Amino acid sequence: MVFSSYLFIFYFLPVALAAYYLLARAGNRTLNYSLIVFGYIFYGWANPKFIFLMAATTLVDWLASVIIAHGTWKLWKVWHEPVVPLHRDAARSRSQRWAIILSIVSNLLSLGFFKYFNFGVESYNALVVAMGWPQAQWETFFRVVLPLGISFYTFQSLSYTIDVYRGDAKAMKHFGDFACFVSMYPHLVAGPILQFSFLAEQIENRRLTMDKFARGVAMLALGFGKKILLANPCGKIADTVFDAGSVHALDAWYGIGAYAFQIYFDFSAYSDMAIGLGLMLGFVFAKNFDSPYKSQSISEFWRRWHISLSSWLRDYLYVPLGGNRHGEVRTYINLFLVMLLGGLWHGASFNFIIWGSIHGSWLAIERVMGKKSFYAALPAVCRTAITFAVVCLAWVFFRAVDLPSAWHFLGNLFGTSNSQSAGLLMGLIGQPYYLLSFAVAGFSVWAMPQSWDITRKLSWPKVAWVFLILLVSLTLLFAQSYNPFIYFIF
Amino acid sequence: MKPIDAHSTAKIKAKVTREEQAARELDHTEFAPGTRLTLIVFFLVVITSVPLIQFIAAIHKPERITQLTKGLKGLMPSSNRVHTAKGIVETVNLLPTGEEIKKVEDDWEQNSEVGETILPRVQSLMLKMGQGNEKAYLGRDGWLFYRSDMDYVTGRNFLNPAVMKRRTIAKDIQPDPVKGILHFRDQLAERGITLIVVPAPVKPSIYPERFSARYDQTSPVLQNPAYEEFTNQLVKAGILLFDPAPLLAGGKSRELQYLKTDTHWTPGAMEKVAAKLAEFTRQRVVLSPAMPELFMTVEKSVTNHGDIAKMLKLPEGQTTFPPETTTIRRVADRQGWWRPGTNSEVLFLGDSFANIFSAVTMNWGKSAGFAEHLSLALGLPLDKICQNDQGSYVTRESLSEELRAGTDRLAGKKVVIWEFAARELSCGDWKLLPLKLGTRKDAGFYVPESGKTIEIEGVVRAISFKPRPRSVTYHDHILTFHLTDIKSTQDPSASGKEAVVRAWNFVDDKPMPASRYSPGDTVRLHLRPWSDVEPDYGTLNNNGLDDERFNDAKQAWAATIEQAEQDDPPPAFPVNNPAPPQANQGNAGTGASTPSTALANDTPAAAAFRTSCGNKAADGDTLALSGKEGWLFIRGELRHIGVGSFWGDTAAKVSKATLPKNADPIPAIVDFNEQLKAMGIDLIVVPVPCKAFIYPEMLDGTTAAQRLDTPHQQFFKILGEKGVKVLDLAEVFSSEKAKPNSPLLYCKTDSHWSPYACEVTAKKIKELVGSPAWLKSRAEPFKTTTETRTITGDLASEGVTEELTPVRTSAEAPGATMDKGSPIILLGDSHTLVFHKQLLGTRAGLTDQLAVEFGIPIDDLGQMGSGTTPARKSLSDRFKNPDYRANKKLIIWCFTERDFTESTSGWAILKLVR
Repeated sequence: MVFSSYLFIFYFLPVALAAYYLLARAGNRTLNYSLIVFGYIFYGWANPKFIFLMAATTLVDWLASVIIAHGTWKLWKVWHEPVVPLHRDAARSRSQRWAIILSIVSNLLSLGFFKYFNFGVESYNALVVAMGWPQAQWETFFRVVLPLGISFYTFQSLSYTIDVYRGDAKAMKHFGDFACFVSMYPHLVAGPILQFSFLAEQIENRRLTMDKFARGVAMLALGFGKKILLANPCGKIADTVFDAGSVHALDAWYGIGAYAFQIYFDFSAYSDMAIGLGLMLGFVFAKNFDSPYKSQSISEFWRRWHISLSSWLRDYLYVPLGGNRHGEVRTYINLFLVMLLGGLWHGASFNFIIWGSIHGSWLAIERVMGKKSFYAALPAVCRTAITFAVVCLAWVFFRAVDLPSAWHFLGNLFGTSNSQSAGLLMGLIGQPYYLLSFAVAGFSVWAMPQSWDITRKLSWPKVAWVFLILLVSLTLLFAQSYNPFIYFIF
Repeated sequence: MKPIDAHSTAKIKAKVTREEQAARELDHTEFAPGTRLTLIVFFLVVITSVPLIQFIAAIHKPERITQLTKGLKGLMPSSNRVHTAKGIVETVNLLPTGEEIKKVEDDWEQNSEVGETILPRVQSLMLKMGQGNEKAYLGRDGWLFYRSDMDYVTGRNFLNPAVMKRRTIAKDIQPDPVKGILHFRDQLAERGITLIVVPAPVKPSIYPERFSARYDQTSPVLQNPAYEEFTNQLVKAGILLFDPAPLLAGGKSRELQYLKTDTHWTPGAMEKVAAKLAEFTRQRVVLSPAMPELFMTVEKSVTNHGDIAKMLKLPEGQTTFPPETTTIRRVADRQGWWRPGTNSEVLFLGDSFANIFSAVTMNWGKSAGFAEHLSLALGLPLDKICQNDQGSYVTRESLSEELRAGTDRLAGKKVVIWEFAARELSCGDWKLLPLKLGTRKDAGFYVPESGKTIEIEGVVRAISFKPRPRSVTYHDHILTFHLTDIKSTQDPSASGKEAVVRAWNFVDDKPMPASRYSPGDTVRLHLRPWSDVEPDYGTLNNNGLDDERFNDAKQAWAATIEQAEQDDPPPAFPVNNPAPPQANQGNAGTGASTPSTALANDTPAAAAFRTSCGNKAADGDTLALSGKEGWLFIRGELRHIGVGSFWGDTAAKVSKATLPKNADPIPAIVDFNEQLKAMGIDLIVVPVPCKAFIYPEMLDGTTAAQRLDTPHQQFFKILGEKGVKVLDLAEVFSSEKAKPNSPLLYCKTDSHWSPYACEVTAKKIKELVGSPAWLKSRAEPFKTTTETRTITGDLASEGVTEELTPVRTSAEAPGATMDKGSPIILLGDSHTLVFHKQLLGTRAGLTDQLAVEFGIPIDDLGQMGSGTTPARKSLSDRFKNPDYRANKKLIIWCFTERDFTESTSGWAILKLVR
């Protein structure tokens, strides 16, 4: 189910909120059950069969966590003993090591199979064909369908067992509480990726307040507006340009700019709505975006973009790889590797690998230069512009459907195309509504505070704007076709 | 939110995390007084108002709720499936799929009351900002463009392997048009059939200047970057490609080639393309000579909103994009408005470019589509399979399915012309479909069990002739259609079967839904066995399917009574145009074609009378024509007289038979006679003369010393020479009329003869037959009385009556003159039913008069509407019973003379016993 859909806003949400608040007096555990039920409905709406996968992942990780917490797999013997966080520096038993391996392997296997099976088969076939052994191709009779949000909930669930193993978190003894953590619909399919250690307390003990609900409404409304009023029209521009046969250079830059705005407003809108919905349900989620296009270097960009993922990668990949503790070269390699894997996390294609590599290389270079860009001496506006241009060029690989398309588009950006139909394309993307949306998006990116900051102080004029944005975007919702979030497919 | 407590897991970390920062920030929102509550209340009101409005509206429109709950219920597995599911996989498969759920969600959204109210207004507002919507783009000067057309022109090279591969990943399709077309061509070539491919250009290809000022009228045709390579590959592979784009681009300066607010071309542009395509086809494929006289066109102005304008979903009555008016030319043939001829040498496959001026559902008029005009330009009948959208495969799939089911739609075809929208090249599914002729499963004809009515859905593949109300003497008519791909939730055994279905064409002169059916339509019906209703409807006027394979099929009855829109009358053809050179039409394959000869012993008076009748028939379209002293004549009869010679090679040109091979009456009559002779049964053919031949003075004052029906005399002579006994009633009636105070032989205001004529005819037949040994007349003669009868003729206005006298009437008990076991069968049309079976009374018709004359009851087998082929089909059905036919000795076949040309069923050669 999509937040910005008719069904969610006008049917699912009123029912889910009504059920939640009617059960409010029954205690947090009951509320958690309500969240599980609605979370599974929300998740199963796209494909009911995948709820079994999510349930299995949840069960395996929960079992692994309690085995780790108790230090034995004979849980029935220790079930009545209280669960306490493990001592960070204490040695882990064999059972604990097996349990964490079970959790990591099962999660990565599931993620790997659903996300990379098709890519693996296609790459292998392409390789053997290139090597002159077409007979060695593997003909599979099926294509694996990617379950919605698998990258998000797998990482989230994995972070839980790792935190418990490390001693950073206390295992959840109650399965329902953990199931609530995994299946909580506000952040289920596209994040933010919540670290368990932070959410555990809220799952067990949270308060529902009018302050939170009201701020949640404002965040949700602004997120809704960003999605409907900015991300979707910019997405139309980007889709048109990226699907075109050949494009004039200016149109191509307009298209990639539109895509940069689309992905930002789309994803940050989802995060805003997730945070808003979380607040309505009494939860606090951390900020996921912090005006990333205002960054003056790629290092800064990654401190502002998809913060929950970059934090996760830092905590669960970069640091375990050694971080910056093993010398400069190893640090650069670690940075590059983390971004490469971060790219691969987004999807199984060479495009994402290249996208990750570009960012990884750039981060390494900036690390060499003391976490500054090599254009650090330029005025701030130029630094921001160059950073944005680099990010945009990398987005080409992120957006293009395959590698040849990415090269083709890069060619368009630098004026290699010559098509008679380019005039028609300009007519398509130059529609007044699109131009207006593009301009407003640009203005919002560089000249406006973000939703988080706008809603920090809610005066009457701001509230009026929130109302207006909500009403206009809800109205336009009826005129737009189905527009899922970009990150739904990751 | 309360501060994170000391035991919280978050506290395990030493430093303050961004999550903790978030907790502090979000818990300290500053609200201006009153804003907090206002925000909450406003939000809750907004999100609950829509379902509330929907609920209130549903109280007034319960069908909405039914529709939505039906969708939800559809997601639940049936109890049968739940009970029969075995194992984990089957149990899991009980869950609905994502697509099914999405469909329900879409239904909810599309049926939203608020959405329906808001959407047109939003769209109006967007329009003011110069914006269309996701499907419709605004061009210049009120022109509209379709997004998919734009995508085709501006999109990536559709033959690029990476592009094609991506399309296969997104959907399980075959993306390569060249591969799909070659595969189709190769299969057709195996049967010696040529393929001509016609990609219909999309609007932005021809009119880019109407979208962007960067172009002008001299701009070249814009195509997808792959188009040139595509055409090169086809030409290199030897495929005949007809590209209409240059023709359309060249015609821009003279007239509009595309409708401004529609995706399709104008009628004028389409007709020019059809004409050029016909020329292209004739240059490359040897077809029968053109017979332009088979067709006529009638101009008609049509007004409609373009399909792109409709996509904008603007408020009703909007004036920004007013309806467009254009003039179509409707094509008619001698049977009425143009319809596909399944026996044609040309099969046309087309999409909405072909349907726009043909399919009723598109609201741009009918009988004026691409196939119709191609047929007109070729001067030949045309078979067609046309369906909107997905022209890359749906028509081929339809053809493939028919062949697989055993119907050889390609039989006799020389060329297949395949039209599809050029945009399909970049987005279509060019699936490779087999053209293998399967074995016909006769058991596959679906008929519900007796007494049951089953709701089904299916696709109409062929439909019988459909006379228009008031164009015929009868007021009720039943048509027949062939239905395939049947689906039924009520009776799963019906799924996948085909059916021969009868349905009302019109009732009491009011057109019924089936009158609008065309091949390719998907229809929903309530079916009953035809045998359940046959006692009630069996003798009503009806038309069957021309295809012989349906002769033995059990038939179903479609019980739908709902009035449909009435069509315009088709034009009247001039009847005495000189006979053009003959085509390979008529009796093809029967080997029984009869050469026509010049009329022997023709007289100037007869020729003048024919011309006069022909002119009268062509002048108007009413059923009846007024003569003198209140006499009324049926127009079809005058047309028949006007055509003159009607057999042999001329037959196909003058007959209204839907199949040219059934136009000539001679082979069918001779064959029928020979089959009966082989069974030891005598045949006497008794054509009832046209009223105007007997009473020409009542038509227009014509008086003639000699008979005026010289063609008929010659025709009867030919039949006689071929061993057929014909009772020439014109001779008999003329003599009878010449007698002083002779009673009238025809009703003045009805299309039938009089009871007196029946009596005279019966006497003459008895005289002809004599007293053969098999005739065992009953000892006591049939009792009769004489009476005067008052009738309202079928040509008369309501309330106008006429007196008939004398009427010799059987005084026996009702039904005494009829007996299925009789050695004499009276076969024929309504002339055998009139005054006998509730048609202008009873007990004084030909059956009754024959019974009196022969002294035995008669086996009556009359068929309303046509005594030609349908009557013989009924006989054939009865002859399936050997006991029935064993004692038959004589068949009297009586029908109106005008059916030699006016019967749409024509003169098919039928096997009486299989």
